[in-house]
Amino acid sequence: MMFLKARFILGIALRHLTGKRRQTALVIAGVAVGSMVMILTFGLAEGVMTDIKNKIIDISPLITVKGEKIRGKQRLLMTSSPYSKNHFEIVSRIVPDEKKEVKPYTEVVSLVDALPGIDAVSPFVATRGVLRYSTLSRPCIVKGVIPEREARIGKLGQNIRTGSLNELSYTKNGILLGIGLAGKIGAGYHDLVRFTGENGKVYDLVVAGTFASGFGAVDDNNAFINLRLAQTISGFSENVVSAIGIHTESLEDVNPLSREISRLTGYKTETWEEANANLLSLFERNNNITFFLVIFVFVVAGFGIANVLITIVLQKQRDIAVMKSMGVSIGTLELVFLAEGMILGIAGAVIGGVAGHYLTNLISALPVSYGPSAVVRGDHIVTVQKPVFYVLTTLFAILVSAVSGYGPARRAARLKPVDILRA
Amino acid sequence: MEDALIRLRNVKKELAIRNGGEEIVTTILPDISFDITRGEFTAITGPSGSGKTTLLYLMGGLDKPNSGSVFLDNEEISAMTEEELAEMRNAKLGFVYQFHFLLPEFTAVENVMMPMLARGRAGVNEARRRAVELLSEMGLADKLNNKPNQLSGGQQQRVAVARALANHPMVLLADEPTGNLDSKSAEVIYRLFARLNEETGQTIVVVTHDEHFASETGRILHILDGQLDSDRKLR
Ligand SMILES: Nc1ncnc2c1ncn2[C@@H]1O[C@H](COP(=O)(O)OP(=O)(O)O)[C@@H](O)[C@H]1O
Ligand SMILES: [Mg+2]
Repeated sequence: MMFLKARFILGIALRHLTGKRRQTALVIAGVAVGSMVMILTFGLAEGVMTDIKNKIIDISPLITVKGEKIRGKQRLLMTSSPYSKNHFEIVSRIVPDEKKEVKPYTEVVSLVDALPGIDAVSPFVATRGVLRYSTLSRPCIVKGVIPEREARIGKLGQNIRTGSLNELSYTKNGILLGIGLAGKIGAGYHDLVRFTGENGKVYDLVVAGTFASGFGAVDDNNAFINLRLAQTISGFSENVVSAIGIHTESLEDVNPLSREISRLTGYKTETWEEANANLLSLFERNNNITFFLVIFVFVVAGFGIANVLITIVLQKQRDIAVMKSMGVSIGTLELVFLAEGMILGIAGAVIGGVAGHYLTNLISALPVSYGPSAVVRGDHIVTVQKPVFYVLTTLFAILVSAVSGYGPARRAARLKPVDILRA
Repeated sequence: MEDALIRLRNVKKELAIRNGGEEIVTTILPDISFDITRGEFTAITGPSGSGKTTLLYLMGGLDKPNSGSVFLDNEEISAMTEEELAEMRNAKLGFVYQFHFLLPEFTAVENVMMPMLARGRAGVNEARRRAVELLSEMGLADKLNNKPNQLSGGQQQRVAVARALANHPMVLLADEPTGNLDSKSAEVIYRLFARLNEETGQTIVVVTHDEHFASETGRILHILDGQLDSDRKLR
């Protein structure tokens, strides 16, 4: 019975649409363009986020133990379940101003090393200074690390362009330069550069290599030296670092481990997402704006659907009246026109989905070059395709066609046969 | 009384026409009553504008009277809801209009199948079988898969008659079914109606201008200005 009715409804709907081939094709094309753009937008937006996240993970620790003690009188005001995804604690605390350091760091390192789910631990000293080569100089951020440990945080090892991390570790006065930074002062592999530290002292360093992380700001401003040298420059004793970078085995463990480490060590911790919240939220907002625009494409497609259906309803008034007079119910007639809208929407979504898939592939296969000011650099546009994008796009197309079809469908179903059959 | 298939009792029909802000009410049928008996073949005649079509639509549950009642098969159809009327029309009535009003996207067979499928009264195969049978009876066995625009006016109207008969209606209501046909095609339709009434006892009410056609029926109801002017039984 249900099947029969569906067949009856679809039969009429299809005949109506095939009777208006050109307009039908045009509207399906409109929905298809909307769907295609939506798939592409999903792919690009998710791609940018994935690219940025991957690049952040590649170059920075997932958790950083910061050289700030949780101290002072702490009063817990409010907390959520510690296992919830968006765990929060609201505390009131007064922190005295003091030097940022982790001391003794070896104790913290062995404490963290012993925790399950920890992949790598790399203590470091971050300092600033000015780097000079011949007549060119540039301010920079210098990170003092134990190269073997730092190599296991992110992909620094893979990002090396010249020289090696190994070379840095056996060159006591070696320095690994970001590729942009090296370019700006014109220094290359094995050149001798001069570094002026925050303490005002001058150090002659050998370029042990260069690296390219994909982040413009990092490659233009950062450099690595050995931990011991950085401790000397910063005036730290041998058991002091400014912070500790940590890599976990799984991304899911980052938040709980970060809280656990903070609790165990008494130092503040920061996850990679917290550290890059500004950057990530900027892109998120950007993506939201793009989606808003894509929805407009769909709204226009929706007008197209409504337009075709209104035309059909007007042209088919007499047929509708005849069908009503032979006992076709109001509900069935409404479904006929809703089905016509749905057919347009679904056909458009399917065609647009396939086109979107290939367009997304095509765009990610195109070689691109980023300007020097780009936030993130790479050699192609990263895109991501997930089944859920196609499901969402199809659902959206169906929603739009249902909304657009509803008015004409109601109008058709409420026609009074006598008014039309007489005329 | 038992055999009265259709009963009209003091039916009054007014028409309200909006003319700008004011509403003009004209009375089409002031007060009309009559019965149609099972198996009767009735012609409704009268000058143009006398209210024949209005009367037919009231009998067929396509329109409702302003007062009075219309009964079909002992049910008061003038008190039914839209949905009850739709079910009633599908089950008990068949309409033929001055124009064929076939659905242009569908073939002759599909057009005849439609009333059977509209409310799931028959399955597709059963509906097709009956449609083929009806069209063959109408002499259209070789036109089954023609679209309406591939048929002559007379053929179109015969398909429309087949469609009206699809669900074995209690009453066949026809509004000037030959009004647009040449005399030869019109003659075919007359004979079809007469044969249906004689052979199967089909109750038929037909509005016509054609004196000759009317004289072949069993009863003539003559309408003048919305009133029953005369009621003549011919057989
Ligand atoms: N929708 C309408 N608009 C204007 N006048 C109408 C309408 N329906 C019926 N009428 C009027 O009602 C009267 C009866 O019409 P109708 O039943 O069609 O008569 P008949 O079928 O006998 O020619 C006529 O005067 C006609 O002009
Ligand atoms: Mg008339």
